[in-house]
Amino acid sequence: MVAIIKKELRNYFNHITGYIFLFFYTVLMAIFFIMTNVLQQNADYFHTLINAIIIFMLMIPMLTMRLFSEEFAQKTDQLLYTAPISTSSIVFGKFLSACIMLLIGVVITFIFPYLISSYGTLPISRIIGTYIGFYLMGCAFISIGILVSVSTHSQVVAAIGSFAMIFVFFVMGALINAIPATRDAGLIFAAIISAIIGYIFYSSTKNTWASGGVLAGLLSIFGIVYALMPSFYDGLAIRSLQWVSLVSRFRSFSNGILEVADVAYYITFSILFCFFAINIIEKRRWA
Amino acid sequence: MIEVKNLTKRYGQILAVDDLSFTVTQGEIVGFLGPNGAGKTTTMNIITGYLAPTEGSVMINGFDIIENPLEAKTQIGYLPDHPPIYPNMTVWEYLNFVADLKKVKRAGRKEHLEEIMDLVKIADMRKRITKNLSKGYRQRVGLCQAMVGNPSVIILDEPMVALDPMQIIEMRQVIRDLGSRHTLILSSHILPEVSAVCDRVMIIHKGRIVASDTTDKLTSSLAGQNRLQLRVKDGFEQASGLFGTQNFIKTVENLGVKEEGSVDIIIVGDEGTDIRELTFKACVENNISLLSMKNLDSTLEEIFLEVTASSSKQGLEIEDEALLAVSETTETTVNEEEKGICENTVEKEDEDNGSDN
Repeated sequence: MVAIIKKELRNYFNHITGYIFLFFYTVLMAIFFIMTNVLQQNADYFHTLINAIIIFMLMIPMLTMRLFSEEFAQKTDQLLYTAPISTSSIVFGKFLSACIMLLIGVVITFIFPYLISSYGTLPISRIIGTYIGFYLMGCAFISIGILVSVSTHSQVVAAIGSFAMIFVFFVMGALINAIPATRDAGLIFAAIISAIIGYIFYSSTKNTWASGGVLAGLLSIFGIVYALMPSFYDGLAIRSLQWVSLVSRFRSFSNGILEVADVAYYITFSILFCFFAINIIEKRRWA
Repeated sequence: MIEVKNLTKRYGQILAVDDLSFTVTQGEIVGFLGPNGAGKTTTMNIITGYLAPTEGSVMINGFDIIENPLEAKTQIGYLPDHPPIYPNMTVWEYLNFVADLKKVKRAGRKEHLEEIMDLVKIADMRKRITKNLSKGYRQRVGLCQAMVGNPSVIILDEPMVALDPMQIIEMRQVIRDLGSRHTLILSSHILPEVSAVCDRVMIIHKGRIVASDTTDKLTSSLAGQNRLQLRVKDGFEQASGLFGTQNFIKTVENLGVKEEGSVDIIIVGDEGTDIRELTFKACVENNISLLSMKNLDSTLEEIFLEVTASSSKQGLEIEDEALLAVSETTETTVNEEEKGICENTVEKEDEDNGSDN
């Protein structure tokens, strides 16, 4: 895994992407800093971070688009997959290298709160909390980008795909508000989830009967739940989607509250998406 | 030592590898030979763990590639058909990365890399960015990569592609050297390459092994045909008039005029007899001037065509095509063999010159 991290970091800086990423990241952060703090004469730096999360939509695809697509296009994936190193080390190595790049960018922006600090005392803990949430959310978006990059041979497709995915996570908050909280909506949502799980099961096993069984099993479980506890379906869709909404979790961080559950949530989210990526790679070997 | 048992690979409906079983013992050089799309690359990709088989198993020095992938992969160096090189790294950086990947120990790593770089003659390229290298050099960097960490099994997919004739001779030498210390599999669709370096040849066609034996045995298995190519003065009528009546000759074939005032013919004698002397005497007795006589041993090319054609014949609708191909190829093989002979002599000269230096 260390070999992969070293190689990816070297690749970022051998290639122009690493420099472009750091340059634009810093410039965009500076623009947000000037807009939020300097022009409005506002001393609360964490507002800048809250506003700046939109940068991820542009910058994360830049970090992740080439991680796997480029390997496929150059056929260097053959070297990695035939080397004595597991697929999970490859994926996590690449994930961590992108996280290190993001960390470098984040550390550079420490200069902005330092600039304000000479004009008064800062709410240090609140800024640190916001930074931790900001960085962890960035890492979660990186794992999304990796999942998209694993699925395609084209860097352009990977960039656009991860942009779209991250965009969906950003607008999810607004989408959730549009979903009705009725019992019927919850039932439909449960049916859709069952169908998706059934399809994933089918696409990885190609066994119609087993996947049909899984689908039937899930539907009957949901049916039993409905018979015993119909209130479970009230607002189920909203609760579920809120759970995967990366952005809404960020709020507690920006209030200066560092909750273990939220930290664990972002880390679990990242690991889960990396595992999806590993699964796609493994599945391709067996295809 | 490589043990492949009942290997099958299906891509959807397409059967790429069909129930392949073979063993390669320690220190053996085995050549995979087959037309494009025969399943050579797929087989190699499965052996090296890049792809998983649909059925069957692969054991590398006792480690199963599916059950113990990390142990099995440590034993293998692989050069795929497209050398897996990062274009933005220098040769030295790249080889170091491969050494990192293969967990080569820090101590003695530099010496090891120097040694293998000398072996494939890329030592003076170490500071070059790989994207600026020519294809031949990239191929050599790829070979070097397969040798990093001294794996006991080395697998090369078409290693001679894109090399110039001088490099091919060098590469053959490198491969022979490697074969004395490693177990080696290489694939090719070019016969002289395989016959020049391999102890054993496996001819693969449509995902199956259609022939597997030492190069010598494969050629001798078809040697009973006893064919001569003659160049005689006068026309074809006189020649066929003579040879057609000789009872030791089965068929006479006209190759046309290659030199003015003479004709080239191929005569085929009874199996297991040496017809050279009889032919010579017959010519003398009938006062026909014999300008040249050449024994047409069946080459690997012919064996290759024969086994691939005979396995094609299993499908009824392509039977005629296969027959056509065989009759066409008898002509081309002669020309190819002539070329082969020329190449061999050139190579010998090159090698002689090389040893003088």
